[in-house]
Amino acid sequence: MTAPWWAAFGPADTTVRCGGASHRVEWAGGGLHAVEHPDAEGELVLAALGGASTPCLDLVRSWGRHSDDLSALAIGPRAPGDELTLTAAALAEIRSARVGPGWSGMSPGGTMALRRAAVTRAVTGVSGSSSVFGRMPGGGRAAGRPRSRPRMGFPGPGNDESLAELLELLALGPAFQFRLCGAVADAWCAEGHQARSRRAVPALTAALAGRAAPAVGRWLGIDPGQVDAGLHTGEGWGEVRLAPAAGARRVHVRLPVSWLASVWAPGLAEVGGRMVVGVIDAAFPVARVLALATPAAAVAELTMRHDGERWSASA
Amino acid sequence: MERLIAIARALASVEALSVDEAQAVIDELRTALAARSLIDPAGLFGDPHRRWPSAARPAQPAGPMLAIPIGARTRGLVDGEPVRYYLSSLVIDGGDVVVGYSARFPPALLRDRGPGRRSAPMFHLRDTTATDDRGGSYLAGFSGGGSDGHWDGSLKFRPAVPAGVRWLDIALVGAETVRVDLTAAPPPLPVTSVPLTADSLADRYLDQRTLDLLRDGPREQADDDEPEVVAIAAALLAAGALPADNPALGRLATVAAQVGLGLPASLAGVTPCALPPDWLAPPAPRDSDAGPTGMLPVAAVLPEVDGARCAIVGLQSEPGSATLQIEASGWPGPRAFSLVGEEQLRWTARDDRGGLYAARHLGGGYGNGRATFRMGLHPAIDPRARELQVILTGRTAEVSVTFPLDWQEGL
Repeated sequence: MTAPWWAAFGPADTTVRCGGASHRVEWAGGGLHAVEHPDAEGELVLAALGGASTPCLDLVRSWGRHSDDLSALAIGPRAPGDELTLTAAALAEIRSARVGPGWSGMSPGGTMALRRAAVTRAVTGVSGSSSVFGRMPGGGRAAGRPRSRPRMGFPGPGNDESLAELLELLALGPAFQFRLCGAVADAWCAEGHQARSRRAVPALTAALAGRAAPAVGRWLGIDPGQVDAGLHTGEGWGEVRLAPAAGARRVHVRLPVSWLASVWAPGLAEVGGRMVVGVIDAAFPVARVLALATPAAAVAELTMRHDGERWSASA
Repeated sequence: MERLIAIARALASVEALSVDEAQAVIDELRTALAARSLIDPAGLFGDPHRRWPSAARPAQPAGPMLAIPIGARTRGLVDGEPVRYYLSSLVIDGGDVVVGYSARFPPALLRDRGPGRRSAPMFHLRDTTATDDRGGSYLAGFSGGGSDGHWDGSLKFRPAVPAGVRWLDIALVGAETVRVDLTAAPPPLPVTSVPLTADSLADRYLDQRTLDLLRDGPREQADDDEPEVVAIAAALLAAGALPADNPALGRLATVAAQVGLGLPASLAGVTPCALPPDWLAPPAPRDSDAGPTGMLPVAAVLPEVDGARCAIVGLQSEPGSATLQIEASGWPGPRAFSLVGEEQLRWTARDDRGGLYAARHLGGGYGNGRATFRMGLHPAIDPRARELQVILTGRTAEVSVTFPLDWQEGL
C-alpha cells in the first residue's frame, strides 16, 4: 500500500462543550484537531507550563496518548453495528461519583489517583506524560509512521485516569471509535514493535480475530464461531481458506495487523459480497483494493467508492 | 464473565499468563461490557480487585515458627451473663504471639443495649490481657468471625513477647486465667515436604479440578455452558499449557465419562487413562451430617512452602462441617487474593480411611505478610477417621502434617 493507513477514511467531526461554548472537534489526515483552537499546539505548550487546559485540548492530547493503546482495540467496536453506549455525560457522572467522599478514598491507585490527577490537572493543566507533544498529530510524529514506544495498554495502579481518557475518546462516537482503532492497529504494524510487549501479539490476535470473524461470517453467511482467525506475519496479504472440520464448515483466516487499520477500520472488510484483504491505494472516497469473491478464489483488484453512506464496488 | 475469570485464574495459576496480564484481559472485557451498557458501568474506576499491583511478599520473621497446644476451656461472667471460651493453640512467630480461640456468648448479651453500649459481645474480647513470668503485661487485639453468639478467631498480643519468657497467663474478660507454658515441647507430628516442578503446574491444577468433579459431580450449569473444569481444560490445551496427550487430560476424560459429562470437540482427541489409586479410595461420605462434634488444639507447624509458613492452630468439627484455623507468615498479600491470584496455595485434607476433603476459604485477615484465616473442610469429617493429614500445595512443594483426631469436648 502506498497511501497512509487513513487514506480510505473521510473526515469526521463532532461538537464538545468547551469553555461554555460548543466547539467542533475534527478528525482528518490521521489526527484529531480542535477546530476552534487554531494554535492548539501553542496552547498545549502553555498548558504544560502551568496554564489552563480546555476540554478540546484535553481530547487532542488524549488522542495522541491513546493512538497506540491496545486497550482501545479491546474495548472498541468489533463491527459497524457494535454500538458503544457510554456517553461523555455518563462517564463524567461516574467519575464524579468516584471522587466524592467515602471509604473508596482508601483504594490505592484508584480514587486517590483520580483525585490527584484531577487536582493536578486543575492546577497545572497537565494530565499525563510529558512526552505528549511527541505524539501530537502534526507534532513530532509524522502521520502513518509508527511510534518508537508503543504502550502496553495495561490497566494498573493509577491508570483510572488513562482509562477515563480512552473512554472519553470513544464517547465521541462511532466515527471516532473506528478511527482510533485504526490508529492503534497502525501503530503496532511496524516491524519489531510487537516484540516490545509480551502482551502485544495476544492482544492483537484477539483484536483481529474479534473483527475478522464477524466480517467473514457476514461474507459467507456463517457463524463467526466457525472462523479460525489469527495474525499473519511475513510477506503478502495473508490467507483465507476452507478448513476441514467434522460436521461443520470452518474457515481458516490469517490477516496482518495492517488489515485492521487500512481495511476493517474504514469499513471495507466486506463489501458487495466480497472480502477485502488489502488496500493497494486510496484517496477517499475511492479505494483500490484486493478482494476475494470466495475462499477458494484468487484475489482480484477492485475499485471501491464511498457514496457518503457506504462502500460499493465501482464498475 | 465468571467463565472468563475462571479461565484467567487457571492460566495465571499455571503461569501461562502473568496475574497482571490475566487481570488486564478481565478488566478490558468488563470495560467493553460497561461501555455497551451490558453491565453497570459504575464500577469502572477504583475497583480494588484490579488496581492493586502485585506486591512483593514481606520477609519472614526471624526465628522458627512454634505452635503450642493449649486445649483449655474457661468460663466466666460478662455483665452478669455466662460466657464460655476455648483456647486452642498458641503460635509464636518472630516475637508475635497469637492464640486461637472460640467464644460463646448467651443470647442475653446479643440484644441491643442502647446508645453508647456495646451491643456486639465479641467486643469484650478486646479486653483480653496477659501477663508473663517476668511481670510483663500484654494487651490483645482480636479478629475472627461468627454469628449468633458463636465467635471464632485469634488473639494477637502486644507488645511482642521477648525471648526467654516461660509462661503467659491469659485473662479473658470475666473468666478464669489460663496459663500457657511457652517452654512446652511442640507435639511430634509427622510432616512431609515433596518438591514439585513448575512444569507440572498445569497437570496439578487440572487434576485438582478433576478430583473435585469426581468427588462432587458436575455442578449445575446454565444450559449453554459447559462445566467449568471442561472450559479450563480446553483453555489449558489451547494455550499450550498442556499437550493433548497429557495424562491429566486423560484423567479428566475418564472422570467425565464416569459422571456422564460430555467433552467438547476441542477435547475429543483426548484418550481416557487410568485414575490414581488415591482417587479410587472410598470418599468421605458426601453431604453427611454425621461428623463428630469437638475441638482439637492441633498446634501443627507445616514445612515452609513458596516462602510461606503456616501453623494449624485448631480444628473445630460439627456434624455438618469442619473448620481449620490457620496462622501464617510470608503469606501472599491481598493481590494474591484478587480475582485471578487466589490459587497460589491450595489446602486439601485426607483422613486415614482415604477420605478426601476439599478446603474452602472462609475469611480472614491479612497484613504485612501475616495472615490469620479459616478454611472450611468439605464434606464433614468422617466420624470413623482417627487421623487427618492436612496438605498445602504450592508452586514449588507440597507439604503436609498429620495429626490424631483426639477430639475434645466442644463449647
